[in-house]
Amino acid sequence: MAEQSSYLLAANARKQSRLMWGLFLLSLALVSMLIAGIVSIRPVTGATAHSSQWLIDWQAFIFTSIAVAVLILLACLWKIMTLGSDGADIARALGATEVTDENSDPAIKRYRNLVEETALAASLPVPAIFVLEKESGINAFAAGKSTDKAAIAVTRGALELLTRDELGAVVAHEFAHIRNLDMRLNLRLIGLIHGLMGLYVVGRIVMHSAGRSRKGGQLVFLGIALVILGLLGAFFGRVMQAAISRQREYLADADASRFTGDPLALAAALKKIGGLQRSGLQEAVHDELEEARHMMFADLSGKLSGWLSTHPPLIQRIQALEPGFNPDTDWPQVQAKPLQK
Amino acid sequence: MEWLLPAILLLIVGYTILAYNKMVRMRNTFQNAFRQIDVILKQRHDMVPQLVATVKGYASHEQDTLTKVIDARNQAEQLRAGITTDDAKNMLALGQAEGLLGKAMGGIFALSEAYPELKADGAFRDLMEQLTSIESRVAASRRGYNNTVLEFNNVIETFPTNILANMFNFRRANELEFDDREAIQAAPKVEF
Repeated sequence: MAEQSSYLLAANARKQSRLMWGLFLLSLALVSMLIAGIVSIRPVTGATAHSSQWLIDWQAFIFTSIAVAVLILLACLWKIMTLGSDGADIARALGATEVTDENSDPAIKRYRNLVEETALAASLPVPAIFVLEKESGINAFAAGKSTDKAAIAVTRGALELLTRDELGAVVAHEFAHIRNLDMRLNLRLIGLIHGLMGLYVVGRIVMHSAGRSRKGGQLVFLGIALVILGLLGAFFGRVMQAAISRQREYLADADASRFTGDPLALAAALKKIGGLQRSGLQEAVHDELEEARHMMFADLSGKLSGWLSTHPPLIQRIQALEPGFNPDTDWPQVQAKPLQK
Repeated sequence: MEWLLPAILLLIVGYTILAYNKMVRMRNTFQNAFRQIDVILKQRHDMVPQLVATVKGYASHEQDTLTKVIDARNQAEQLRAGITTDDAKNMLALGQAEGLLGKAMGGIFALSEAYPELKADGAFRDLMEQLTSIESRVAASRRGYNNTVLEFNNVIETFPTNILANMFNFRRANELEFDDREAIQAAPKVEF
């Protein structure tokens, strides 16, 4: 049964991914044609004396729309390429250290075992295994574009503060992200936002140069249109990214609890995070992690909420796993151990 | 109409080739999955002497429990060494032996509750972690193997592939079932 539902989830992920590409291509076409329209439209006076007519220069229209579309696509692809596909590289860039075979720390051995067990159960290759040694809060992330280039990392706090079952649930959650190809989806979203931001940059350049040229009227208009479209697009891209990301978190939670057969363990891990947040101990020590907030198991600070938040509220995630949870009384007391630096 | 017969023959030959290749691939898949279980079962068996030696140091007069584990381990290892997947009787026996071994090891886990020094011993804790991990690997690889076996059996026992399976001597594979459900759930809960 568990296998079947994960197939469904993966199918779901692909469907969402296709929908996103559809939306992207549609908005790409719309934006390109809108801009091309602005460029190629000409007032024609003469033929009939009183009324001036607007004519579209079709050659210019087609040329410009293709040029704009290519520009956006290139910016998008460039960003995706520079973001890289190798999970281990991303994990290293975020300050994580790779776990080696010789490591004799019992907490790390346990973590290693859990990752290998989960990989076996999920029929996935064992990802590169990382620890964020300097983080005393409880968190984790998965990185990498495909299942055979994936990396998984947990914080030192998660190793010290979670029981075996809880850590196993967190690892299973990250595996769900790997299996559902959520990192690839997210990478593409970031690329899309970047492509739209490219429009904004071009718009600024056009406005700047239009100020100096003589027949600047139309060009200034074009620049303004580019800037507005770019900013609006990037904003809605971010809203969309956050909405998809929230959905993927719920899915990964559901997938992980089906996988381990133990939703309460995942709920317990989330509750411990809540307990840490309430005593202000969950904040990330590393600034690098802020950039990767959308990738983390739990929100880093809980400051962002609503439309732009990449994670569902902790309480709702816990209640989805453990319906009887009462956020007024049920937070556990968690003693964070100070880490030796 | 003289092309009809050759065309039908061609279709049959083509279908036979495709079906044969599919069955070979499926057989390789489940055999590979079985080798994976085999490796893990071997690891499980190899750990028992270590475990017994460690426990002996703290609880030497629990000879009964320890003997039971060793006996169960020896029997399971003997069956494992000579197993083939198409021997239904042996597969059943191996499943039962592994189930017994799981129960017997559960006895050691339970026993450790009564010996705080044993429970606190670093080597014992390492062993417990290793065993817990192996238990879940056994469960996962067994599930994976049983799924591939089910797929294979479905193909070789349904029409029309069953005719070809018979012709080419593909034989039904056996799932590996442990009768130790409660033992696996109850035993390896290790809290630190």
